[in-house]
Amino acid sequence: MAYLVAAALVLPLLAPEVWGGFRLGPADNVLGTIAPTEQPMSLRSPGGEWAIGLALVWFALAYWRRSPTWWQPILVILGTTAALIRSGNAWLDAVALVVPLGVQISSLRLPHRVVVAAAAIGLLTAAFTVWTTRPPALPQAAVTAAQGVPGTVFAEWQWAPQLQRDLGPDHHVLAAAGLASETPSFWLDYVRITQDYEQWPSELRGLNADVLVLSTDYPVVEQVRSSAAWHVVYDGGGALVAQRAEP
Amino acid sequence: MIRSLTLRHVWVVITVGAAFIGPASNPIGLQDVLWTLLRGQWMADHATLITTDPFTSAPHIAGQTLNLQWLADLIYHGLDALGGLPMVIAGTALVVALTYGLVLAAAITASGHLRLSCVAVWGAYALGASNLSPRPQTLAYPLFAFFLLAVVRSEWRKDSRLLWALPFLTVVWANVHGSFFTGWALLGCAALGRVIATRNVWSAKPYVITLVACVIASAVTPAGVGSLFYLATMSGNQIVRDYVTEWAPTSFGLREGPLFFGSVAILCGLMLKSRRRLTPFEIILLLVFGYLAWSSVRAVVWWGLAMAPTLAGLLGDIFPARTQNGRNVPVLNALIIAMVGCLVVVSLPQNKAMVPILPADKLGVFSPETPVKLGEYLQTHDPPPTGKMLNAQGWGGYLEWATWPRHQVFLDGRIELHPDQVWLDYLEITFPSSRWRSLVDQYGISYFALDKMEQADLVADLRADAATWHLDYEDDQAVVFSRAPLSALATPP
Repeated sequence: MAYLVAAALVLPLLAPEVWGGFRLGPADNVLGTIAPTEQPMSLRSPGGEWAIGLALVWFALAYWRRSPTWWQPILVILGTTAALIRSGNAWLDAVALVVPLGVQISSLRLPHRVVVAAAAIGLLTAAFTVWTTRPPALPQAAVTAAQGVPGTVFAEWQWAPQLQRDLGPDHHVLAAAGLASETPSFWLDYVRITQDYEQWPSELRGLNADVLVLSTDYPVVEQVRSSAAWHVVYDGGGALVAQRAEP
Repeated sequence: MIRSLTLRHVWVVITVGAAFIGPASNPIGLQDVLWTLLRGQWMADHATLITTDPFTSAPHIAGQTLNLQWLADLIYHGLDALGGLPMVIAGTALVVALTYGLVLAAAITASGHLRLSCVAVWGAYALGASNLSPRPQTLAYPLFAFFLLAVVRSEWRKDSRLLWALPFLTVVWANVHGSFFTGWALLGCAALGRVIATRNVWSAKPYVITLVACVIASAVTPAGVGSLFYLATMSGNQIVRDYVTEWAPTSFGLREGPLFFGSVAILCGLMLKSRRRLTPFEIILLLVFGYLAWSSVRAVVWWGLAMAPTLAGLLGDIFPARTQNGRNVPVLNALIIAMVGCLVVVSLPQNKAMVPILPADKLGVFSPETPVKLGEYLQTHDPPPTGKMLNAQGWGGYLEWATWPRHQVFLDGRIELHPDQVWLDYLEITFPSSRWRSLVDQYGISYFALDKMEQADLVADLRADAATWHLDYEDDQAVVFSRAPLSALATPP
């Protein structure tokens, strides 16, 4: 039972990576401006407080009981360090924490209702984290609009994988295989374009992009709307689809 | 006298001396102290407190400018008047040495082990090393260290006599720097720890009385209670939180991050290994200051200071004092102390050029990133007849110190003086976004003083637009562009 509680408590650490895929690696400055999970873990990271909180709970129990075996601190330090290096590595932290946390919880002999409450808190927090970190929804109308426009698609990175599946092999959606599928140089361009860098039209030309599928939260959207070089084919529901108006 | 010198003296001198040598031998990197000096000069010249900001030209927030650091401005100005920037650096080093001397006293009080206390203070120093440059916050460190010593003496020696001094020190602290709330936090931790340890609310009376007196004392500023509201506003400032690195939450991406998390891991390891149980006060103190340090990288220095006595206590329990086997050689001790003294003297900015092994970037008063040549250029050239300068914000402190009033920078490091929109617009211009030209017109910018590395894209745009922008000056670090004579501002300033 204690190990089940521990498993429920570490679930929120897995939640942020549900949408982007479980990957182990170092943090990246450029990707970090796009996805919080690519930053080193901090107080502001999704699940940051939870990860450090769980490590502290383990430590508090171990300190109180004076019973940690040598491998427990090693697992906790390894897992926490992985998460601190890159927030998206928190899934490894979850895996590393389950057993040490379970061992400590099992020594507590908690009443049944406390066990159930702790597990429920873990599950609810995980569900909440999954919900709050979900990517923005791409309206079906935007997909339909994009289907009618051939060419290479520069899309909001969280929409790119699904958009590629929806549009099929006739279209090439940039970054459709996720954050690891493109070069650092591409992501630098991505940030500059979406943040309305003055040279965004030439940067898009450099990427051979013919179609834009952007979240309307991006500063560049206003420029696209008023640009003679781009023809907006869909604008609504938080998404904008535009087609290059000139060759 | 030499015969009375023991190894204990050697340890203390090395620890305090090293705390002095670090900041004394480092050039000024952070430019905040330069606008501090400028404000001090202004107040000394006008014999009044400064309530406006004549140094920057960007639009200001409405109302009076609150300067909670006026006393620090005057102290630094006094040092500057005594011996220029070298004296400012030497004075800061003295303050840092005093700080770690007080922390050492607190650690010895808590642990009873001098050498292990020195080791703990070295750890505290390593955690704060990146935050010991001349600036108002540095003047607050010895005040915090005194708070720590007072509380530690009260906890471990049952001697509460030093507590009475804390409200008086708070009056100084509140006029030097806004970090006086860390003194409250320390007293709050002590009060709560005492209540938990004794299960008696009344046992915390000395701390609670001192805390209340300190809270009242912190309103003894020219702004009165307004300073507390100002502090709350500052900590919630979105631009400060999102764009200023030293206010960012501590993470592995910042150089202090591995040090901070490493210190937490070491402390936890020692706690598990030690037979000594921490007191409720120590646990609460570590949690509060650990959270502060995790939430903002600039608070890591306070974490280092706060945890030193506990670290010394744990080390003392794990590595008990050994009976002294070695022979005490007073002459050797005197020799080592004299050597440290020599290093202290040589480390001073006035003398460090004598050290042949010191790297070139450590020899000057300013760090190599400081745009000294640009400052010299602007000092000898008038601004265009109309319009404002837009400068690299990180250079604002140096440029206003070097060139005001001939030139007025657009922005410096005082984030709170300008509305958020001004900062967002500055970022758009230097990015540069599609709107940068209209923003430049909107703010009436007629010349730029830019960092070629940091603002490379904007510099490239300005070079490409020779019809509008004329390159007036360039060195390996900086450029100055001004509006070409025939290109008028779209909107007059």
